[in-house]
Amino acid sequence: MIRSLKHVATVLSLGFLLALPSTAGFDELIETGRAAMRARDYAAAADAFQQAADLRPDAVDAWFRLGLARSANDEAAAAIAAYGKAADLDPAHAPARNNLGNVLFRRGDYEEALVWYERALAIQPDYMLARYHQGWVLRHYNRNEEAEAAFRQCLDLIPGSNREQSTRLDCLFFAGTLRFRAEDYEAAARAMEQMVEANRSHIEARYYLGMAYRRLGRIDEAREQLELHRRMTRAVRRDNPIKKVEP
Amino acid sequence: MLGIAGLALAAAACAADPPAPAAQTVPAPYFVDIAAAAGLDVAQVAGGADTDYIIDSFGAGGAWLDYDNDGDPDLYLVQGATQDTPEGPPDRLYRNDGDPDGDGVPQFTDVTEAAQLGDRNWGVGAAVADYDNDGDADLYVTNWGANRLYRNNGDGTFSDVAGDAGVRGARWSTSAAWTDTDRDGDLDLYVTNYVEFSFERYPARGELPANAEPCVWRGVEIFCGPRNLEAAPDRFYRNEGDPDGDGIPRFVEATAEVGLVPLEPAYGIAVRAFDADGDGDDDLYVANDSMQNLLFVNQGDGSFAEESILAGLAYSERGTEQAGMGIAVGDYDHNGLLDLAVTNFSHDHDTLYRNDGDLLFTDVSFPTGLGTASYFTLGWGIEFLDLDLDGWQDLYVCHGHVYPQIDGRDTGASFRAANGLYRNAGDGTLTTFDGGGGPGMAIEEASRALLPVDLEGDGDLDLLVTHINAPPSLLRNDGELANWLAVGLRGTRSNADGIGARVVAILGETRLAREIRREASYAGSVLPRAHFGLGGAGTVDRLEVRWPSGAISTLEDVEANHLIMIDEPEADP
Repeated sequence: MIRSLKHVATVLSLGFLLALPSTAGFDELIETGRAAMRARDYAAAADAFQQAADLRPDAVDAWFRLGLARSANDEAAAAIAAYGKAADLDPAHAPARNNLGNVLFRRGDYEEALVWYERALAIQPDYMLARYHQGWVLRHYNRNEEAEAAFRQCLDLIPGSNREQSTRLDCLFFAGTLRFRAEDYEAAARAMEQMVEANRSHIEARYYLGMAYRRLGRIDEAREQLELHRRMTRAVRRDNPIKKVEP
Repeated sequence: MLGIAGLALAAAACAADPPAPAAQTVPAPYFVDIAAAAGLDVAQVAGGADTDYIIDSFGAGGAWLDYDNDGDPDLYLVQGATQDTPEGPPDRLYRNDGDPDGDGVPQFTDVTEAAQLGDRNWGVGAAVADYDNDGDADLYVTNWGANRLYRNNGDGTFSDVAGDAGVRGARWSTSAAWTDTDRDGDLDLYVTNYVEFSFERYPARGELPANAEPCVWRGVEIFCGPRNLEAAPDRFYRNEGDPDGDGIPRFVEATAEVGLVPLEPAYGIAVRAFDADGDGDDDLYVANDSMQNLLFVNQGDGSFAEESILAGLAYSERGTEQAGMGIAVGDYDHNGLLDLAVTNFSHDHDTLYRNDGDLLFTDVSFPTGLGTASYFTLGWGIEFLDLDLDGWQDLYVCHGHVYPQIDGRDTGASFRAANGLYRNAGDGTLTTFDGGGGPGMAIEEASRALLPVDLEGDGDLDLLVTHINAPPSLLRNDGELANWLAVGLRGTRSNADGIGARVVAILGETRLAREIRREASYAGSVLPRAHFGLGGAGTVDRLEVRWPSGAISTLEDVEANHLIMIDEPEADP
């Protein structure tokens, strides 16, 4: 009987590994790792990508994917090593540098994370995701003016993919939060109005909009937005009462 | 004369011996742990070591109280229990016998039995107050199960009157605050409750039913909750005085009657009374786990309206629910308004709310630096304290995770951790102390309650810190002293200790605001004193007290460096 996530993960991992022939080739290992990533079995994915990287140590893609899997599996040091290898092998690999920055940020190495975002941006100045991350770290660091400049640069870029359109919205949101921090509540409200227009279910934008209205003395509108926020917050909490198994 | 390095070496080399009092030439604060030397060497049991259930994660607090009215602080330490031994070791009362050896280490003697104390319920916290206004400190103990109200008999003994008084409760209570919400001169009681818990009701870690979603945090299987466990509602007990004349005041459970009910049941962990809007009555702020925090604003007649969201005190800056654990109240920016700091879970941040007046608070966690600094730590007790006596309230935070299983994982957090110490730079930011805070800051435990006290009466603040399944730390502050003033009150029309009074020290253009309170930030209680660091100022130009009764006391040119006791005026001038 499967009783816990650990057991689920063990069974899944065994499944992915058993699916591999003993002399699996590079492409097969990569495909196995990708399938494991899709199944959120990050440990199995990392195993497969590691084997692929061992098989072809010069394969940037294997190291990069290994970084993704290690990072998803909360193995920060191993993720940094894998992304670092990809970055060493390919001096023009901006995503490896961006992702390395993400891992460093998550473990609190903010200054170093910034360095890697800047390296990614030096390679690809219109790399929207890296620009967004740069702004995010600067904001976290309370370097608000620099953060806002990064988000503004992000907003100046033309989004291509759906993901970039989503990233652009994130930049708009965080630029608005920095207007709020700067106590420019009119500008914060304008940014958040745009946000909720673009994404009506953006919970945090609802909150900022409500608080900006509150600061501007627009109390009724504030109450309306904050009540919407409260209900949305309540709705995303999944109610699934925990009970002991009956004997 | 010893330098910092010399003192650190001495402390490390002689860990088993009573540390000598420091030469006080090192920068303050400089904390040295003297708990064992002072006789505080009993571990506070607090659940199973593997924290298989959520109740294993809470730890136990305590209280400073002068139970024998001899002028020095005595200590009550709560004991938890374990699933295997649900009747845990007895809570303990330690009498402070002063410093007989003159070595700077007070001696604490266990007087639990003589005091007729020794509750063996699964304890969490303690809240002290003179609830019957008879001049001695009474004690409320929060438990999983029946709470205790120990009336101080005035002869060194206590009697549990919780049942007769109507405040027993039978839930999982965490923190409590005594507060005169209706300003009738006696103290009412607010008790936070957490989860409707029993070992029979909820599965242990790793023993969920087959079809249940596992409880996992960052890839680690953990105990479940509090989300998806049934929340236990908080309770408010109004003090009705002593209608039978039998010496036992009666309380009426009036939570709903006075409007202290949130929109949905919440997991209450900490509560503090403070005057949020400056109108002279006590408002209540409640920190809840994994849900919004609550601000109950007193309508002036002892009834309340919940206004946390519009006040900006319900969520983080970004409107996210946090896991509120402890609450600090202080005036960190010298604007005369009381600010709040709330500890939260790791991979989130502790939150500092600046009071902008008109019931509006701003989350300044990141502008002050607290947000970034606290990202990886899980905080519990937290207090604004002027630890270097420079006039600016600094911040001390107890750290300790709830999942021992994270150790060895690459999460950036650990079960046992060093506590946090932030210097108020006076410019709206929090930074580090040059001296680092001394060897006491290197202690790594799963800390919980924080109980500040001026142990020696020398004006600097020492700290009692409780830990999970370990003896507490008693951190004597050996740093260099500056000027200070401590204020205590004796109420006549107001409650006996002046709980709820606002005390403002005025130095030139600077107004330092404090309130007289008993409750600590989490599961604990402190002496009812307003403490001011004065830096180089040898005199407070003016000291103003606004009593709960509305009476005003004013003193001019108050000399520094002593505890001043102020009596409430009998009638308005």
